[in-house]
Amino acid sequence: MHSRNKYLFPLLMVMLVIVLLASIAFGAVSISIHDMELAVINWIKGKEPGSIYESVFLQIRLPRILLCAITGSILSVSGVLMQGLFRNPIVEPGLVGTSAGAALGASFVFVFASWFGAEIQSIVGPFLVPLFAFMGALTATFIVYQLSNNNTRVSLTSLLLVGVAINAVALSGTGFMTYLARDPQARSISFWNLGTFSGANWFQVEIVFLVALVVLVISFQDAKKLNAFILGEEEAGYLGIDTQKLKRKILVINTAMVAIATSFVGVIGFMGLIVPHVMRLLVGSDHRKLIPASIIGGAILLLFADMGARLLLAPAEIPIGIITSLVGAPVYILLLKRNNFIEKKGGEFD
Amino acid sequence: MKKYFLFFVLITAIISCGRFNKKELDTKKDIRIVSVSKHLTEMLFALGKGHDIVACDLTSSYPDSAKLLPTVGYHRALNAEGIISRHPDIVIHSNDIGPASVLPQLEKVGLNIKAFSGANTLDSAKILLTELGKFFGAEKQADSLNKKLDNDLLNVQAAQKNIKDSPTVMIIHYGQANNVYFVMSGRKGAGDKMIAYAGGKIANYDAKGARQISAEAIALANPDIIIATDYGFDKMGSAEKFKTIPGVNLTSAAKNNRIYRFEEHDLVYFGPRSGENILKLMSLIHPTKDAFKK
Amino acid sequence: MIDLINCSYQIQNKFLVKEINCSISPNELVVIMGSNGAGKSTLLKLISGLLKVSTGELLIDNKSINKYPSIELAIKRAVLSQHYEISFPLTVREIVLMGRYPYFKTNPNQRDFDIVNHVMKLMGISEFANRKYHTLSGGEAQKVQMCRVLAQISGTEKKNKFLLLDEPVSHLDIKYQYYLLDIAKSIINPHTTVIAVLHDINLALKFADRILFMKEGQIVHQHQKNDTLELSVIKKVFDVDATIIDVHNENRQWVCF
Repeated sequence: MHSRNKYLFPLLMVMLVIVLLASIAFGAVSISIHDMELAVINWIKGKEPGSIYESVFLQIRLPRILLCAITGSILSVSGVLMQGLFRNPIVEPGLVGTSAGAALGASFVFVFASWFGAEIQSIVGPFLVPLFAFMGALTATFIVYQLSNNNTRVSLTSLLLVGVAINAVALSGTGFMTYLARDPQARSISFWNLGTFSGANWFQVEIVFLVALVVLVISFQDAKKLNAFILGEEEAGYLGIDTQKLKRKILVINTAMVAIATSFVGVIGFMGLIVPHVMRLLVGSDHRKLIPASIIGGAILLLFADMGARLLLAPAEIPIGIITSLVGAPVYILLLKRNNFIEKKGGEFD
Repeated sequence: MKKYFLFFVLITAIISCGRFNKKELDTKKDIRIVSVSKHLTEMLFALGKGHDIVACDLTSSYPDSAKLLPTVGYHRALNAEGIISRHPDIVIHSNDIGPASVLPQLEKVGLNIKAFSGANTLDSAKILLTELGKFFGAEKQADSLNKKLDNDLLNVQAAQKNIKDSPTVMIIHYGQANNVYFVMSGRKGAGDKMIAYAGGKIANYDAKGARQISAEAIALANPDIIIATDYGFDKMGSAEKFKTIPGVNLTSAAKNNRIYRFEEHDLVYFGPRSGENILKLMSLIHPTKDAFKK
Repeated sequence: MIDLINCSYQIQNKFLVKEINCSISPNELVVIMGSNGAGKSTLLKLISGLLKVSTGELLIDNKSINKYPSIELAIKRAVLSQHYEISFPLTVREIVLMGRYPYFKTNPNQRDFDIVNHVMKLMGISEFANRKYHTLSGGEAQKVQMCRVLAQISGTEKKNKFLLLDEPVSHLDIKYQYYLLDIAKSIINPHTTVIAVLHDINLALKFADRILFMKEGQIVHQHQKNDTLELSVIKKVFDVDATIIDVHNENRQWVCF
């Protein structure tokens, strides 16, 4: 295991670069490397793009790739953080209602802004939407956490059941929002529940990048504390960790990160389940390695999924949530089966 | 942080001024058209410009050759690159495309985009045909299409002289999802107007702004005639089977066997074939009148 | 040195622990015993700092426990609980290393690794170092946890440290019970105290320097190592009749129920 680690991270980085380049190279529109070079050169020189290919590259494909990669990292690390917080490997923002709560908050303000007309919508949208997404996500996650946690352990059954309930409420709430929407645009927010990167722009990339940077740095700093948390809340306390503070902090920053991403791209599920699972097999459960590995792994996986979304039915597009679900659901079932095994350890004391 | 801010400013500057100059487009010649609106697609085909369409949206279902074209997706769930990859000289729509980011993206890369109006009434359809004809250099065809519509309407009006009664009609789209009744009439849409032209009355029901209504509401409305759209009718298999749907089974329409099949896309907008369609409707609503049997 | 001065702990008008006056010095193994609900675990948790006394004072080395920052407390005392639920695959070494977390910020240094190796050897689990924790048996797992808490209070600083054991062996087989308590006894020195809550009176009699018997939240009897245990004490504390046998060749008593 230790000798594997030496090559693992460099290998992951190489894979990331390859997938990034492939994502940039392939798309519905064929853009040559020459055009890409021209696009960058013109941009550096401050000149306008010389051809439609350069424009597509700069305005559509590049921000989409970057938004996708960062979102992949966000959702994967979110899975890691939630699994650490709830002390269970089958937790991720999609399953416990965080994403759905974010979508509900976002669609709520989106629809109400649409009642006041398109101008209000464009002014208010960029700020209120992520804010309400955050509030929605926080509420949902908080409810699930409170209802499924007692002092000694977090019952997986309660967790998943409450998560199902919260998801159902949030998703139907979002559906209701689309129903209420007067503006035909707002009515078609089915994208909230299935996710897509087709609307990516540089503004979103900047916001998401900033938020992700802050959160991921903080998470990495708390990696050791999250390790200790695996032993149990009391035990982590004995090791000198302020567990209440840690729980609150992780809950809030994680929810913020997921909410902002979700408010831009909709609900994309299962990333927080697949990536941490695979990364744990590769690097172990030590968060100091797991978090960086998940950042890279998440970007790689979602970029792949997005390529599928863009290319499989080109020129039409498959919502990316469908692809992640197709891959994620089997992994989820696999994890459920394995979890039985791990929980049995120490069963005699129960 | 400063470097990052600079990057942000540069990007914003580029975005705001980086517009590719639109080519001067001669729309009267053969050009590559992407249409993301079903009635625009049909109209273009009717004007003889169907061969110029290189892609259309999922709902463009008439004529059959439109269904063979590559699709760029559902018109409310488009993606910019998909449209761009068809190398359109122009993208035409009727102001109901989504998501909201697609139009700005297409504009940003400098595509020619033209919005046309809807075709909710016969008059607006005729105006639209004229407009399209002028724009795409098919004035003659537009003219003849409009003339045909006028002719068909004259026939309709002539036949109506002999009609005294006005049965109530309800258009029902039944069940994409299980037992979902979507009543298309009574919403002041194209279907209502066609029924009115065809000499029918729209069956009243308490819509309460609901998108779907219940079986009870249908029974209460008790239409004399039910026009069942193709999907639901085919799903049930026959008029006999359609009669058995809850709610429907209690209506006069069911009791008197006046349930008819109609293609949905013929009822949602006015187009070149609307004249024929209205005549068809009339023959269903007033079957024994031989005034229009020509 | 741990001093409890008139300590009580109550929740919603119910006293779980009442008017405890007691001093515990280094170099001794103190066992707390009593029937269920007597307040043993509560007392241990008060001493560990997890719970705060409602009235009275709890001093550690003459300083109130509340004045200790949690990291300092973590260096001073370690707690071994009855069982652990670990949901993620961790190796034995990774778990033992966690005992050293109060000592480093991001990355452990050589001294931490040395201590980890030392305690693993002490507990005889060096060969398990790279095995996944969840593949171990109950007894082996508890040995790993013992290792971790030992690592937590290990160090050559001449500071007073104490080890708290909260019914650590109740569910283990005899072999592990004796093993763990042997180790606990062996680490006693002028700077180290061990306080254990045990269920088995005979284990306590074998290993303890002092036994604190609790009933209804109070200490009702203190038994020193070479005292003779009276039947009346057993009856009072556990409400059962027993027979006490003298184990002659070992100079100790054995309680039969």
